[in-house]
Amino acid sequence: MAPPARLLTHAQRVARRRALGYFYLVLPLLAVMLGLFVFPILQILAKSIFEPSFTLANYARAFRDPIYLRVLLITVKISLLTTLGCLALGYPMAYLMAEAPPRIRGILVALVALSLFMSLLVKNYAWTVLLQDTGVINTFLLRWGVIHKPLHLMYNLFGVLVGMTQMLLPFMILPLFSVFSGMDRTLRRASRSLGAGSLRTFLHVTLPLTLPGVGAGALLVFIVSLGYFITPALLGGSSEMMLSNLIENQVHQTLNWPFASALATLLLSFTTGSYLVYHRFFGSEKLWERV
Amino acid sequence: MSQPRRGAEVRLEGLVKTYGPVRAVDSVSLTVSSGEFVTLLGPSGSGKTTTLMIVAGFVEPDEGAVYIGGVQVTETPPHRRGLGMVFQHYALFPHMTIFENIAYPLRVRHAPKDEILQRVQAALELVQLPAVGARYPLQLSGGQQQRIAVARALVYEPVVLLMDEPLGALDRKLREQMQVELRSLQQNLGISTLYVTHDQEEAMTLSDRVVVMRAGRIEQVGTPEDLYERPQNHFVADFIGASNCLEGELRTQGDRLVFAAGEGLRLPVAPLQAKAKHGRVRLIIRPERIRWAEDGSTEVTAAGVVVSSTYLGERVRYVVRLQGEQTLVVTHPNLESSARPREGTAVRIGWNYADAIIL
Repeated sequence: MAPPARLLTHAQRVARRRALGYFYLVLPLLAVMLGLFVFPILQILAKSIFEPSFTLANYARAFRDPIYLRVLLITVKISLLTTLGCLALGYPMAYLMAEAPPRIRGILVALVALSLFMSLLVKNYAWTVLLQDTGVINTFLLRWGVIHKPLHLMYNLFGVLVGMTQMLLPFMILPLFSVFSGMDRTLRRASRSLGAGSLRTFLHVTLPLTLPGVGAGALLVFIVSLGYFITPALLGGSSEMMLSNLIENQVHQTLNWPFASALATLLLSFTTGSYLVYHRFFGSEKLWERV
Repeated sequence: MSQPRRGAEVRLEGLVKTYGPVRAVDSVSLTVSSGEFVTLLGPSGSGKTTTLMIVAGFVEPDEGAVYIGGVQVTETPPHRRGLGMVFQHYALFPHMTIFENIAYPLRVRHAPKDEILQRVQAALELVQLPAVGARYPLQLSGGQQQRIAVARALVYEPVVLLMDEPLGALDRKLREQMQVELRSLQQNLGISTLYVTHDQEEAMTLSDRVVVMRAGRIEQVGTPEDLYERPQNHFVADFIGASNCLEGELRTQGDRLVFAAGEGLRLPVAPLQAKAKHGRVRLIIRPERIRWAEDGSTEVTAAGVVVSSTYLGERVRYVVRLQGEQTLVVTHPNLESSARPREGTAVRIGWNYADAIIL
């Protein structure tokens, strides 16, 4: 319990007044978050377990019915594959950005940021133009005689992965880039001077020192992927339905709000769980960063 | 490949490296003899670090060649040169313990496990930190990290040790202590060492020979004494220690040679010193070589007025204005017996011919 005001020294009173000042500054944000974010989430939670009296039937249904479990599995599978795709493409890109001379680095950063700012809808439709049976890729391949009937590049897992990997790539590149640029270059030189070739230097010095970036990027991509909606809806087929698509389906088609709420709660707890797992394993990596 | 043992000779022949229009290293030739400690000394941008990086193999020269132990290594990648290197900010691997850091070059060379254990321990004892193996670099102080960096660079018994401003990040006291330790370590091991610094005092303390560099070129190579007593040009005279520099010209006055500057300042010089130089020259004299010469005991004397007197503890620093508005800095050891002239006092100062350098 805080001591009564008359027992405080002058400095303490000033500090308290200042802290209160900062609190007033964030008050509007706090109000917005409470009213428009926390309250609705609590409402969703409530809706999923009171119908109108307390029940766990909605959760039981989500876990008992193999269809919904399959959707959950597909969601995790697509998210994992997207994360791997982003890592494979983003890691070398982040390395390149960190090593590039300042002017080129500026351009590369701008390009990555730009792809983040572009409308999701536009990007997804652009992929449709490229990937569909009568799309740019198939048309050219057919004309050049490489193939004789169109490749099915979308409305399947491939299309969803291509789309999601491209949409989420910046979330992987940016944290990796920050880790790469923060890394002391002389460490690589030191490794070389001690007799290690470039491969050994990469495996024993560069890679371990960039793991926190890999962890942060992978977590971001994975978490955003879990709740992804537009790309599977536009580029996927019926077997690429993810949790968000299922929730949307329950809200708009079947009008089953309580069940949709239960699914949303599951998605949220799954996302939170992923974050906690990350924190448990990668949080301790910071140990040697600042002791 | 049988590698030469410690103390290999390093020979640089006509090294040139340009970055755009800048010649960062310009015709640098140098030999570090077996077991010798040679320092590249110069201000920033003098090409000393680039030269070191060429020896290490991190920078490829446009022209010239590098020989280590008589073998041409100009095209050899850094990890096959068998050099030990210490970097300015230590470059210890933060994700490895001290033991792993020092074991790294041995593991790279596939040394057997018990040999690694024994050699790492020996290296830790060499730098007087036998008990820190299990710690991480950031848990050590700057001076301790520096010692570990040295241990890591020496543990695989390299033929040559390269050091890039290794003491630059330490505070003055610690730096002086480390200088002594580095020097005795180097002499005990007899390892050829090429050292880079911008600190002339450090260069003088550590080195057998010092290479003074400016704008990519070697200005002078010599022992610390050579450089201080016999600088070959104004840059070296100015860079190594403090010096007074008077600009003027040499004239013949009767049968004597004098240095003439401004209005009425005439200082006799020994004919030997002046060699064939005539016309515009610089007269350089170290502040501590100038004495009070009221009794006329020196070969050269000049009249002046004390403009300022600064008490610096172990010595006192005066500024004396001569005829013709030229000023000289004079430093004297702070001896109890010496009477200190006050500001505004008229004095006679003097020195011997051998103390003045004509360039």
